Amino acid sequence: MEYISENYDVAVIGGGHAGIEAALVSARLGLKTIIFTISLDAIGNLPCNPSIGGTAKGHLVREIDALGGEMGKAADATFIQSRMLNMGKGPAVHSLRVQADRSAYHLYMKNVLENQENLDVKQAEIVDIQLNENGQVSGVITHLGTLYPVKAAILCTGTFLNGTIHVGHQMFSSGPDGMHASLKLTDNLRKIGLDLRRFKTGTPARVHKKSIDYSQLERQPGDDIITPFSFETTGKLENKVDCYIAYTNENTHRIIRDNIQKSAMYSGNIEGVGPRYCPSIEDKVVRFADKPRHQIFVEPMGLNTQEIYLQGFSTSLPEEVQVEMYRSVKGFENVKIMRNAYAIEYDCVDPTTLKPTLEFKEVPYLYGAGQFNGTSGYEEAAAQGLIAGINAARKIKGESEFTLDRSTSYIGTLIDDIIIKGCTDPYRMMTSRSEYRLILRQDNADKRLTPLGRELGLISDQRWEHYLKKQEQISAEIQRVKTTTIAVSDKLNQMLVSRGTSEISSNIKMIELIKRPQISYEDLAEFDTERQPLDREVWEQVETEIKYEGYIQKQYAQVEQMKRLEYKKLDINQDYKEIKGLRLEAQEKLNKIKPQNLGQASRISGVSPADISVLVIWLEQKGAQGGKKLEL
Amino acid sequence: MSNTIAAIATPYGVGGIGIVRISGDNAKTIASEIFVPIGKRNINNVKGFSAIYGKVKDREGIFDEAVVTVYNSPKSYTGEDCVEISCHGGTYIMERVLNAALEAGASMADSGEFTKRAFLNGKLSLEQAESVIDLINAKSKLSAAAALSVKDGVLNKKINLLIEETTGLTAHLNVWTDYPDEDIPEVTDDDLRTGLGKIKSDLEELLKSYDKGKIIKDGVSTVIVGKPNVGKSTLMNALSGQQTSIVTHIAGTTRDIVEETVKVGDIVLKIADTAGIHSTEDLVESIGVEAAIKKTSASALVLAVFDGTSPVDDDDKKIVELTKNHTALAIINKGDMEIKIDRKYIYDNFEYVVEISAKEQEGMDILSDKIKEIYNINNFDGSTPMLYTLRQKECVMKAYKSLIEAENALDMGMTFDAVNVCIEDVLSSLLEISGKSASEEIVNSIFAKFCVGK
Repeated sequence: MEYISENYDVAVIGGGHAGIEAALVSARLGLKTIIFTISLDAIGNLPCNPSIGGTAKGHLVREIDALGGEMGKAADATFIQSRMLNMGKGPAVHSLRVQADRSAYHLYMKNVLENQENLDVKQAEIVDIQLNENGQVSGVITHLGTLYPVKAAILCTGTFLNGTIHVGHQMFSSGPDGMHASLKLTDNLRKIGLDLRRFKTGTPARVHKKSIDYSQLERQPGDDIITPFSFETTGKLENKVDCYIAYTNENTHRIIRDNIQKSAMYSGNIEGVGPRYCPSIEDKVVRFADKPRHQIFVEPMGLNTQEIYLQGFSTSLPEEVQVEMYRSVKGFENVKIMRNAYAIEYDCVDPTTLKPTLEFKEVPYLYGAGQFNGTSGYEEAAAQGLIAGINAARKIKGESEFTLDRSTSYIGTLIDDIIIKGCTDPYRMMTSRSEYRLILRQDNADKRLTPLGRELGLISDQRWEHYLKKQEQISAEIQRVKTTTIAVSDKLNQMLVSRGTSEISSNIKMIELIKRPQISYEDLAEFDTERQPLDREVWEQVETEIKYEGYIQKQYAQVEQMKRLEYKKLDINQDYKEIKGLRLEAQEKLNKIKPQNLGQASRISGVSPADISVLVIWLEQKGAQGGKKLEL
Repeated sequence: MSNTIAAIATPYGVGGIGIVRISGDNAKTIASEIFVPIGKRNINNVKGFSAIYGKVKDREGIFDEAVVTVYNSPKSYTGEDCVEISCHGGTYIMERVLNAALEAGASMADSGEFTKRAFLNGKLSLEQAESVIDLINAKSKLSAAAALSVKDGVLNKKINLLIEETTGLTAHLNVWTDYPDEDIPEVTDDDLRTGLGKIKSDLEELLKSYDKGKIIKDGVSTVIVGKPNVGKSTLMNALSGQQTSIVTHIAGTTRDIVEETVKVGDIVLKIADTAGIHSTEDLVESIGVEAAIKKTSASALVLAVFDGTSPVDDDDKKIVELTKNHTALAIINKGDMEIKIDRKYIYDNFEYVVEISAKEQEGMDILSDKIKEIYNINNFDGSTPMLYTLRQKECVMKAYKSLIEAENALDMGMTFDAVNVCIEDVLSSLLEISGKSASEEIVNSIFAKFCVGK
């Protein structure tokens, strides 16, 4: 007879970035939680880029933090270089990206998990999910045959699930970074009805620092003023390393072209769909044949290692070709590969089978997050882990669902995208995916989400007080700026002209000057005699809210327009074949996705505005039949 | 809160009176912007079911008189605040009123939308609602058919080209921000201005084409004016090829307005012949004169006829006055006889002048060429893209407005994130014509066009 362990509320399967947030939030909400990982040494691993954040991903990290998640704090504690990307392109697209010390990050996260109340950390491979007679999750079974009775399970299997690594014609079963793959779970997930498919991703080689001739490379330093990810992080932050840029050349490309048939990607061995945004170097050379060179980013893996990550140089060519082509790059003539580049295939699920809570529509109490849901990236994974964890905990406690709509966050946008539109290749967050990006800035993530985090019970009193004080300061300062008059003076006019804007002829309200794109809040410091010193995070909000007011208002109007459809709820058990008037394609798509409201329905490709009109009428008619009062 | 919609509520075609209906939260505000009441009562201060007399205006000024009826929510057809503008009938005037309402902030109502709202607001019964579903079904079939017919057409090609160009601009901006470390060519102010400028002129062309498309499809509402006995009715008959007006030598024979549809080359003119305009004591005749003046202000094209055999007199000068601010073509008639009219006076006062003899049917081809010239459709060969429906026009108009906003943002020196939001609005409006989503188009374009990755 199998061994039965003690009971848990929530089991999290996988100790990557999705699993960490899911487990922590579940435990923090008071649920007895256990996190399983194939190796305790793989917790919070960064098997690809040793970095956190980046465009739109930085937004996700700030949002995770605003809701009380861990990723931002871990990145702040372990970063070795920080940059705010896209400065000068506007506040909507400012994005924070740091190089993290890979092993420090892992240790930090492992430590947080170990010290979290209500949370057990367990090295074990989960091979089966047990359902009760109602089809609900009732337990998980490990490779040793132990049954863990649980009320909910969250699948965060990443690239471990049925992982296969390809290097040239070599292929073998493996997880990332030498971890073993999880081979038995897939079949059992299929048995309980999950629709699994195969995706692939790839990673470049890690090389030895001392084998690189840095004098041949361009230096890429960090920022002077460092913004932390976490709204809670205080204290001095400093860069500890530089990154560098190298370039491929015609010779590199020739080597690739000559050996292209040896690439796993081109030999037909790989059936998985790779991410479009993350092509291998052979993809780049084939698809963009006219580009004379491609950039390679040379990034340290940490402070206590000589390993260097070569971003932009991902490949599935065999080892001998890897060596030849890497060494063709200026500065890499004697480069020594420590870990070879590889492509990895893994099993994941069709995310349109998930609800916005990330629970499976057909399997109550089973949730999915991260690469398992068809996304890519640590930040995308962590964001989903947080939402899945919150919802698993709330469902067990009998509380309402917690979902974020597109107008609140990149997190909401990501989840809406994958569950409504699905994804045909690994999904990466980008600023272009948000239609409300002037509202969804990384700098105001706290304003958007911290009140929700507080309501959930994830924000401490101290942090909440700090938040309230900051918001109060922002509105007080906006008010002051609106009413304060700046006196005209030669000095002021000199400054205005030097910034490329026009002079003023009489006294002017400060707000009018700040509205000018050329003039910053700081520029006016010496002319604004009553100004009290404020934190950067406060006055930056003041400046942005004033400067972009017109555009922000416009976006709010668009949000209102969208919300009118979101408020119209649809029954997820509806059979759309019954609704006369819908086109056949719309019926099929609606039956597949089963949207929760008209807003979601309107975003399904294949559902036309005319179909939405039919649904509106049908909904109201149904309401009328049920004796429900008609509402506007 | 519901957005405010507007549409022509009476059937298209010739009718004495037409109604444009505006419904929604801002109905009264929007109506106030395009309606100048005569007297103290205005749209915002009257009780429900009140009628107010006044004038309708658009950007170009006052163009018709009208009576508006104000309905306060919930006592209206739709249950919302509602304003109905009763103006002179005829496609041209009604569309101009509708256009004015759209420009003032109303959205074009979908077909059946007033009824849909009426139902949603509990103004219709369940049985009536059933028929609304049928109506919408019919509409989706119709629009599918319409989409099919446009699919391979030149308009479709043009719109797709514009979509491609706009997507190109915004995709470049997006990839440049989403992949800041890659060596993506920097987006410059000039790149954006050049790109936007090209799209803008294409959009302008398209907007103009709507009027052209309308002209070809629906014809031009035209009025013939002139002092009595200059040959207006003869001209009418010469154009239509049959006797519709009573032609006599006695001034003032035509007392009622006679209407006729004639084809001049490719252009259909919906011509109204009017009573001669002159000072008169005859009551019946003066009513005719007044009607003619009204008709003139309601028409798109005025054919002003002058008697070539007599010098310019006060009545002629009245005609010149009347045609000011209208698209007008002066016709010096009776060219078969000795010309005594002051040609210079006519040529100075009109941009377009032709000399004909309606009686002898001489110069009629020149007349038709001139009309084609006025509407710039000399070279109409079917390969020019044209907007045919008001919905298409509204989408293009929205795109155009967003494009202007993008240019303004550039002019002010706003950062590119703000500019890009405006460009994406241009794209969304264009995609609305074909029913695709903007974000997907951009993401697809990014990966197709740019080499980015880790």
